[in-house]
Amino acid sequence: MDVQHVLSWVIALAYFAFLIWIGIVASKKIKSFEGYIVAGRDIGFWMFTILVIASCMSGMTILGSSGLGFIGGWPTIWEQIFVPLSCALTILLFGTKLHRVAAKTGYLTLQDYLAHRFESPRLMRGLSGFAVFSVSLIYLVGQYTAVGITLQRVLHMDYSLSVIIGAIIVTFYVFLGGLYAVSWTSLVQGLILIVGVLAVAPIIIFKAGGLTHINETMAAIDPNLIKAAFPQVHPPYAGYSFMTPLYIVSFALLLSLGLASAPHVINNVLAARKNSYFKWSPLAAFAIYVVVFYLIKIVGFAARTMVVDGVIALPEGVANPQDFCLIVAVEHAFGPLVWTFFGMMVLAAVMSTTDRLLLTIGSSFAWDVYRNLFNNKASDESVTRVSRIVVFVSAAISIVLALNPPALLAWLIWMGIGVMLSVFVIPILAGLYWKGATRSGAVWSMVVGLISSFVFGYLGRFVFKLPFHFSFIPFIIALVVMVVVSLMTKPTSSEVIRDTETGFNF
Amino acid sequence: MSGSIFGLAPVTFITVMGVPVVIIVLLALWGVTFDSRVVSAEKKKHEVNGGAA
Repeated sequence: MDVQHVLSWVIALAYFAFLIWIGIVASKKIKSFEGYIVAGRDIGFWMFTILVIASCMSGMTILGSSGLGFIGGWPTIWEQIFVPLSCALTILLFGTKLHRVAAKTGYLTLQDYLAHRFESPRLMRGLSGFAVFSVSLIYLVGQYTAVGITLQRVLHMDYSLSVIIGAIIVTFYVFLGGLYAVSWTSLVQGLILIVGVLAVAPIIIFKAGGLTHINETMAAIDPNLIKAAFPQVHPPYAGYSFMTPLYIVSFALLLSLGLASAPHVINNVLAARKNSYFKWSPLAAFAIYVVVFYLIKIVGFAARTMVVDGVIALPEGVANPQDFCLIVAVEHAFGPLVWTFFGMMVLAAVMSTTDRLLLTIGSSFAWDVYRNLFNNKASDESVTRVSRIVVFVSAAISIVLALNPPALLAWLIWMGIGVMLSVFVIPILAGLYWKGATRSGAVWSMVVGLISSFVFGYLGRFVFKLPFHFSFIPFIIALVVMVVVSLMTKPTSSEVIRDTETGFNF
Repeated sequence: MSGSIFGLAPVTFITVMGVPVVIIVLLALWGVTFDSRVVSAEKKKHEVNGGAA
């Protein structure tokens, strides 16, 4: 074992010990189920802002995004705008009102709001609970796979062992410390990531010859790589040239709204201590995230230039070599020792999404299914206990799945975000801002959105290529169904409209 | 490349750098107007309730 290998283990073990310590300390703060899943609604401004960013920032954010930049150039930069925008929108568009109403009503999950606003304590809760549970589980398998790949690369361990060790650490601190542990670790993980990218990326760009040289090199490969979008032709003239203006519009909806409505992201708004945080938090979240994310993408461009210049080479014999471009660029620019620290940074990004997903699955099942559908008299202790059991069981299921990841895992994850857009965005937006939205409108919008997203997701993947992301059609269908059915059915009671502050006000 | 900014055409450069700046300005406006919106909503609610304290 060489010095670098030993150092990698020392850093990794110290980091894991720190996470476990946070879990133990956080567990002492938990006195109720509210404490477990919304941290007693006591999260401060910066912890809240970073928690929202960290919930959106996954392994895909770091490795996949630079990899997409490597093959697709500047037209893929829109991903760098829409994902940070989803953080701002989840706080601004959904969070401001949800938090204010939750302070009076005591909502613990998004499903609490939907059940109340649409006067459907069982059907709406059951439908949305099913969607949350299944989509979060798919997402979780993807995150555990990323944990395994990163640990394998950093510690030179067997993949299966990497998945199991990484999963045990995350499950342990979520199991013990709930959202307290998730938010504290997210703050640390988010800061590691921000500082790491700000320190590393400019040096890699400089070592690649600077931004002008990078852009000139990409233009020599394909002039469209340095444009804001690829030409609107269908099918695309190359595998990487799918980011056309029409696709960008569908991508904007998918990421800005679909990700913003993902339960592991939106539920964070219920944990903020004060409503006044919603004043500047959207700006802070977007500004921080967009700078970090732009740098990650430009490092992907820099890596492409370094490959063309013969400075680095991507690994051979792997499924998506472009996703390794960031790792190879860091190793070249700083040597393997810095890669160890950088590897921890990638791991921090992956873990910060994984822990939030685990907690979301646990709380959705324990609160929405166990407590509100099957056992209304369940005590606080038993709901917390069920939540912890579900955290444990869902971790075990996703570890087994991650040991042999499904061949279409990446597609399944994108499918999951598409389902979020088609199922949740319309009922939440209509519920918050349109007094005319009714129970039947919301239920049918969700059902039709769910079914049509599976149909168009399948068709778009296996039957014919669409010139936009498949979720665009189910989203429009769900919108039409919500409006038409709501106009034809019994309006919501004025009492509920008043209590939920429904209307076009912010 | 003549007339380019860091190797990008000016229109491309303004698009890819300008859109985040515009969003930042809009989010700053949201922050600046936040208090007045909350206060006017509270005032409206107060009036609807007949001015009762």
